[in-house]
Amino acid sequence: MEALSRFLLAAGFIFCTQMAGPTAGAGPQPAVRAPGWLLPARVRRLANAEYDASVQALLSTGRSPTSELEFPPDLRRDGFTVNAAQRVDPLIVERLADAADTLATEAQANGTLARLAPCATPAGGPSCARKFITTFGAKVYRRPLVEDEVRALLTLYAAGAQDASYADGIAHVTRGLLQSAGFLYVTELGNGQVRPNATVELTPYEIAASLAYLVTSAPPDDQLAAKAASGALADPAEREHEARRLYQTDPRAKDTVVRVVREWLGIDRIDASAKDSLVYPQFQRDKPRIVAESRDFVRAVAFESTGTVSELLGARWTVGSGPLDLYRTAGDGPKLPSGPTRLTDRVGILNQSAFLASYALAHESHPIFRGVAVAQRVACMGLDSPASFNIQVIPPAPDPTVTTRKRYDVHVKDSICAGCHDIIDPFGFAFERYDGIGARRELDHGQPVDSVVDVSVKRGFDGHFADSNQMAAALARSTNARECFARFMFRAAAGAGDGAATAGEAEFMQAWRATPAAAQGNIVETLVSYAKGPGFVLRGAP
Amino acid sequence: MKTLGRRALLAGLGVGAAALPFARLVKRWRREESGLPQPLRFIGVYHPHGIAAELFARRPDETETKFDLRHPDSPLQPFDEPATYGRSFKDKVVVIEGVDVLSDTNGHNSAGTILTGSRIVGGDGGLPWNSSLDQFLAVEHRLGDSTLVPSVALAVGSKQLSARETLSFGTGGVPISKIIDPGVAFDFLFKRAIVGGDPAAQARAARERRLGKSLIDFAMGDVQRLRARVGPFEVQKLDQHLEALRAFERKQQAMSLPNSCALPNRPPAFPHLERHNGGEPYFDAITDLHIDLLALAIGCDLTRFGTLVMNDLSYAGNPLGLPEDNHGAMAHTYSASALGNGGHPVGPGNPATWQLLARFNRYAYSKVARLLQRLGEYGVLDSTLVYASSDMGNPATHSTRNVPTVLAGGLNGKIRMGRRIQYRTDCPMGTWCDPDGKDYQTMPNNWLLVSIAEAFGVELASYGIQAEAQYSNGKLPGL
Repeated sequence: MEALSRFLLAAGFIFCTQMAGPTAGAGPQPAVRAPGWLLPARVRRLANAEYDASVQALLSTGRSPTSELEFPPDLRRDGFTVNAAQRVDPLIVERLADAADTLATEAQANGTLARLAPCATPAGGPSCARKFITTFGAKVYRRPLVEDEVRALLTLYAAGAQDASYADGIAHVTRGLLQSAGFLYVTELGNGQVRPNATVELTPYEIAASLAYLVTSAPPDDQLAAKAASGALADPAEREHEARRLYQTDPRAKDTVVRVVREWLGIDRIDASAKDSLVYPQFQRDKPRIVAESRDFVRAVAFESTGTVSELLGARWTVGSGPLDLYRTAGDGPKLPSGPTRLTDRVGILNQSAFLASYALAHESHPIFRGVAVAQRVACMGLDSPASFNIQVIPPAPDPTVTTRKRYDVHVKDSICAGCHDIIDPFGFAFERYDGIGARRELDHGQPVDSVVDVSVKRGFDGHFADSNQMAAALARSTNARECFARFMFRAAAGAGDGAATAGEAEFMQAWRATPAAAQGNIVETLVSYAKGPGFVLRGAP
Repeated sequence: MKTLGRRALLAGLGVGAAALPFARLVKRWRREESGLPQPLRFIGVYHPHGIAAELFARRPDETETKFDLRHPDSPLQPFDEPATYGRSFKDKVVVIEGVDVLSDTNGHNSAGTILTGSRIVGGDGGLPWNSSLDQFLAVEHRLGDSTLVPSVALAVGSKQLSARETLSFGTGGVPISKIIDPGVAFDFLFKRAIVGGDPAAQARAARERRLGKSLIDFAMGDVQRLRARVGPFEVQKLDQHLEALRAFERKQQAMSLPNSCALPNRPPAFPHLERHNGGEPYFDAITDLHIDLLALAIGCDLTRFGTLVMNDLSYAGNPLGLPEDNHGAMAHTYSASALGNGGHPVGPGNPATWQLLARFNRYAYSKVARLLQRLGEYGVLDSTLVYASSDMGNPATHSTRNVPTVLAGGLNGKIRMGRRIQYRTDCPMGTWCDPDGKDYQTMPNNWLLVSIAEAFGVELASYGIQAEAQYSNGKLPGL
């Protein structure tokens, strides 16, 4: 939205109904502009997954408040839940208050707070409270607190302890901390010192927090916090070292990679997908395995196999937890620590049920949804919305006598539609061998399925394909797909999708291309390369 | 003192009652007794699947003020069904034809334009560029400040924050979180205002109020500290956070007000709430509870601004007898005549499909009628404006032209009700006309938003960011 606001200003839009946003605290604008590829100095609210992981780390709780207390969903940008557009509105404020109360009450009752806030004096007192505030508060804020903050929290302690106990005061401070801006917003602001080129450098604590959330969706662990305190994280090599350590040792890092990959392809939508029970009566039975595969396969590729996007797109095996009833299997696949795998007739994640069912209607396949998803998120082909051509979208009428492909073929017969559908349709039609839940079919409405396509989009993966499996194999080998994946990883990592950081993305891609070829297609390496880069620690001055 | 009809109130919620003190109602009745005009209220309602234009349209022998809503095919029947709703609302509605939602995108992504008047840029993930009218009035113009809850956003079946299923947007077009659980809606609207009457409960409430205030003071102070460090684009973000904290603080403070009102119990929990996750069979009941809670909150002057995003009834055995796949087998199969196609001559259409869609439209309007009934029972119908619309006109083409537009209530006489306003279709009926030609007519709903804002005392030249100023500048003629 920031970029959008800038566009509106630059374009001279005058919107009478919008009150001008207050600018207090902005300070004078620098005469020199920061390099355009840098993200602006900003704050971003924790996404729901980050909030849950944070309170779990801080209070050793097993709770996931955002689901237990019905937090609103994340506002997505470019499909990703971690982004700088998240806001705190009235409903979220109340959910945060309820969650803070639930967590603090639990932590007081189970002794967690007593452990975190010991006091030699049985009755406790402000000095013990101050110690708790400065130590636990620093973990919550992911940096040492300034004296103003300590004083404000001591005031909170006094309110909680009044006519009550030391423990009540500590619990009250905990409630406050969990609703504080210092906790809820990851800051990328620097220490207020603007460099001559109008840039600011993130503080060591901001670097540590950004790195921790990038890799684990959680706040820094003790080792990373110590590195922050020493100032070591300004060194790219130290950031790389810490990122690798977390990827190797922290299970939350694996969960984070799974989340990011699922959001990249939009297959996390399978969690909230349903099908017409008359057409696909087996879907409800198979759905848990479809969802499980969408997580376990990504985890297995990323951390137990090659770790490459090529394997994600081109693997000829899947995990044992997948919906094997829907697939043709042919013996055991690679032996992985997490469990057995099976060789299948499906090539890669695009031919698994989560993708196929997510991009389908409740009662039938949808080649256009599938084609657009591949074109935009795997091939990074720019496609305009039909609305930008003033085209009214008219879905083809149901016709039980012809195949789905035949019905959707109408697009390429219209010269206006053909401009985009010449790109979209071959991608989508290749998947027609799979129905709306991803089960294989030879007939569609009683007619033989036609999944043969010619992809001709002037990319390295162009070719004549018998079906989506052949196409996926070509995509898996393609440098274009690897590059596209890297672009989406940048958007996910930077929390800047929907064109909010196109210059930053271009800068990242330049650095990415300079990395060893073997690392380019590696999921973890791509994220590490972002953490190492100057764009990770520098921002345009506010 | 006049008291709120407890039976009506509880019957509306359909749940058991528990007598609990409730403060704000006192103020309302005092206002009524004093002869002061009622404050103005606004409710936006979204209903899916567009409209069967052929059956929605004013008939040839009808006029602006002489019309029949009860004819057998009319989707608007619920507005004139005294046997069901206790009275006719024929004199409390303005039915408007020919309004366009200029989202510049597919009809499915256009709900976000209804109250923002903004283009939706970015396809599926796109959002409007400016705030919605409810937020503009309630928050930016602070008309919601004098109530405990500045505004509330309710929805059925989906709390996703996409433009396709959201009506309320804050500054900069950021979606406002929606409540899909009537229990959560109850908590959001009423829970913080409830104080038990016994001394122990009062003492507990006083302590909670004191502690709650200390937490909010701290949280606001912390946001302010951060706000002082950020640039202008981030200030907006933190100001929204501060605004939300202020709203929460008002609720906390309300616990100290005198109390003298009855409230129903918290609505029961539903086994499932979300679409595609087993929620569909409960959508009808959830819709009713949302409506009743919203009307009650408006009636008690707890809030003056609300939105409700309805959902469809796509499940086997739905009470309307509609196909399980409403979307494919009802909306997409609608076969329009020229009237439903913006005037373009396309043949006679298929009346059977009009009937099917009209059945769903009638269902949607039955919920609006229920809302009007409740508002009437609480004595606030004439001071409220309900604006009900859809993201499409013709659902088969996903057209954002000629969307159904119903205004209802009264707004203290600022909008003359009991009328049918008929703007022309895009092209003169039965002719082809070029969107760039002189015969083509656009009637953007932006103009309606300007008119409504004016009725609320906010004079504007335009509302909503459009590609061309002519689409957002101006008022709806004849309103």
